Amino acid sequence: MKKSLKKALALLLAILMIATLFVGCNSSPDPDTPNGGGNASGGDQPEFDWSKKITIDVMTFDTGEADPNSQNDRIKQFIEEKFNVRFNVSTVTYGTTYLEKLNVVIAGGDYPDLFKAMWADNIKQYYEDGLLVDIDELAKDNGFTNLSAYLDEARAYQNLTAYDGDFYAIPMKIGVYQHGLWYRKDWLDKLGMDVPTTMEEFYEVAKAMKEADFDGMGTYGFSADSSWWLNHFHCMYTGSWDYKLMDDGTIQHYRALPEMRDAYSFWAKMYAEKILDQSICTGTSARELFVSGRTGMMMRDCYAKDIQYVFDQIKAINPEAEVGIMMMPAGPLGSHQITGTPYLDYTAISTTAEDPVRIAAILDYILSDEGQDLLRNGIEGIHYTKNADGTITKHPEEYEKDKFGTGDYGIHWMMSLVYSDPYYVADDFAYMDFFNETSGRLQEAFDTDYFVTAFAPLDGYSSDVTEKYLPKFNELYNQFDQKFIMGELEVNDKNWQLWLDTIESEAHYSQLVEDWTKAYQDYLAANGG
Amino acid sequence: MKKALKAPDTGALGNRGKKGLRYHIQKYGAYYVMLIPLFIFLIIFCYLPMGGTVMAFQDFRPVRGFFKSDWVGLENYADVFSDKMFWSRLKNTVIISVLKILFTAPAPIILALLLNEVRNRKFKRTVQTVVYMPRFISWVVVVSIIQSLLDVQGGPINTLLMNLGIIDEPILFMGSKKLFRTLLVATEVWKTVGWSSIIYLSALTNINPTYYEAAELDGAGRFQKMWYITLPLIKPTFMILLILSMGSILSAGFDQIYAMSNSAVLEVGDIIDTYVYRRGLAEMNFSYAAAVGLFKSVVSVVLVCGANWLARRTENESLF
Repeated sequence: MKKSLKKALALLLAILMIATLFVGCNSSPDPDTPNGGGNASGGDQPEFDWSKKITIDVMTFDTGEADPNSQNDRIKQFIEEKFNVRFNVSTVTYGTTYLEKLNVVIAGGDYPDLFKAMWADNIKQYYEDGLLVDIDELAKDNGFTNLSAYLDEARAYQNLTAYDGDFYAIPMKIGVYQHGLWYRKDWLDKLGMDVPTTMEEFYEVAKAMKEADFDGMGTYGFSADSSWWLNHFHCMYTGSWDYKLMDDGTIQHYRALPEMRDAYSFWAKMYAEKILDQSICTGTSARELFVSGRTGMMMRDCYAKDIQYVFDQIKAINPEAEVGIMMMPAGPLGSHQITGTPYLDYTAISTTAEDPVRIAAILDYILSDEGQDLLRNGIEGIHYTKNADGTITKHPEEYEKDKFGTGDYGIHWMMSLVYSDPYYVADDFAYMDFFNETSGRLQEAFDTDYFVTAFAPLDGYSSDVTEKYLPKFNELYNQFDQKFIMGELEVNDKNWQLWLDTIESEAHYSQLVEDWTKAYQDYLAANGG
Repeated sequence: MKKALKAPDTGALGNRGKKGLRYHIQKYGAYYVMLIPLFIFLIIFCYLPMGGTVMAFQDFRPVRGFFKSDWVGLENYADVFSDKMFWSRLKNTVIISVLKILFTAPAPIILALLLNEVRNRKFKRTVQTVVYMPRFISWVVVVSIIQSLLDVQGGPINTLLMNLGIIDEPILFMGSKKLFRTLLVATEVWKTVGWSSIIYLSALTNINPTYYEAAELDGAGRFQKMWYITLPLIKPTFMILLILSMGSILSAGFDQIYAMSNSAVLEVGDIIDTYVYRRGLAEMNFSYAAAVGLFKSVVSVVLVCGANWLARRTENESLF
């Protein structure tokens, strides 16, 4: 009796264990009932039948600390009700981490309906595999005028990613890179030096700042998060920061140009004298060093959120500190810094989505004046009230209740799904004057020759050859970057030849050049010239 | 494994041979039933995914799936083996693995022997707990601790070495090609030594105390007892663990290296797993990754079998 009881118990336990194994596989029941109060007609778009509530799986970049699926977020709820949908959002940190996660999700056959498709080369694969909806067509056929207008504006810059003339992913308008050369103004004043205007002066200032060490923390003259940021300086030697059209008609990568030797010599000297952050090739946080008085200058973003951070932190640590952002000191080719084409990162709709039209309608709505207003200011009467003079009064305590993530743009993370005004900053931004002066200066400079821009004909270009060899080339130049800067390889004829030989033998550089050159010629042919 | 842990004086697991499988299933039915979940787990998570190996012979596109992706035969292998970077990563992997085995294999024995000699139980327990702890900290956390300890600007280790006058200039530990592998091995030993010593401690407690008593009567000292009794009796355990570690010689520790490496040390620290991760996932070359994965598995099986054969031949100890 006792024995059989034991057996029965064991059996029960085993069944329980099997059951728990499978529990994870079950999808959780949808909490929303079909009559969840959705506006079936979808407001302004009466011709669509949106009576059936759908769930839209969204995969996007980090939205900040908030929970993107929070039920408190009334702005998201407003859009959900308007289109009779429910968002199921997953977020991942921006960058390769995101791309890896996205690829794993796609490899698992679990395609998100609306997602950030990141960069051009992987979009090409998604496109070839028929994963992407033709957004251009969708917008035109359904009269999504905001979306169409947005895409038309982008078309001028996105010639090679707009396959067969149509967009299969929406490029995000990021505008000019707002990267600035930050410096400690109070230190410069104490040194009695002027803002440097040449690379020689830049070196002198950096050196003097390091030696003076005004905050007594031990300081570098200059820092940046990684050696990528030195591209802003390299372009003043090579006149390019990705591809360069040579006199002989070939397209070369700027890293293989002989002018890079001078650039490397400069940074090798800065590194050897410990004026340059010693961790620049291994990863460092320039911003932390800057606000704590451990570097006199840094190259880093200067968007509103960055300005806010630097000012808040530096004043908390040292109330005397003063900061400024300078235009680049001139190198051999003058004063320049780099920027991409004004579009980067893409949002795409999956062909497997239940209702791609409705998703496009939501994006169209976000781009509308009403949608922009909603995502920037919230819901009228709840988050803000309109005053008689047309201005608005925001109610911070209401935002507090929603606790939504703000992402990088606007006040609500959904703005990052498709944003049209990269320069937007809220009227009540605390450092508006500084922002206007620095960021405004960069925006204005976009129309001048101050910026060395990405080589537009090849922006977003991807082929079988580049898919195979470009990642290796990039990996190699990161390695040699570090070798030349950190002094492992002296910048001389022999080592420069070693670099050229290595990219040829390991990354088939001449095949890349051939491929780029052909792509450029194809581009010229396609554009009548 | 069982055999090793209970060696040398416990009997075999039973006399199954004589009474047959059916008898055993009848007698121990409930226990066999309890094994079912584990079998299901193994089938779902270990055996079914093996089907994915076909990717290695396809130009796998996720959207098309296994059935519609194009077959390319051995093209992926041609890609892998003609890739210079792959060979340099293979070399790194083997070097790092061998270094790790060389240092992580004997370290837990020494720790277990030392702990075994400690007579104060409270002290012994405390030490044991403290040395097990690192095992439960994720590599990401360990690496960020190490990074701040070894920071070139104001890190405590550099400050200490400077103040003691050992070095004149702070050392860029995390970016030094010379020191990177040392750091990998040292952190690996620190993290695993406590946990691995548990197995040896259990092997030690299995040694029949009469051997020691007999040796004491013969006038053996502590060191002699350790040398002539303890070490020979835990040798089977050591051999088994060594054979098993052969299986992971092409792995070298993805988590740790992924978290610790940077472009400055990529040349000496990049291993097959991290390389394939970038190639395979970040660039969507799933087939390339699968081809390397299969290659790794084949090499591992060969190495484990080879080590097993060698151990059986030379030491008469083996896993199977």
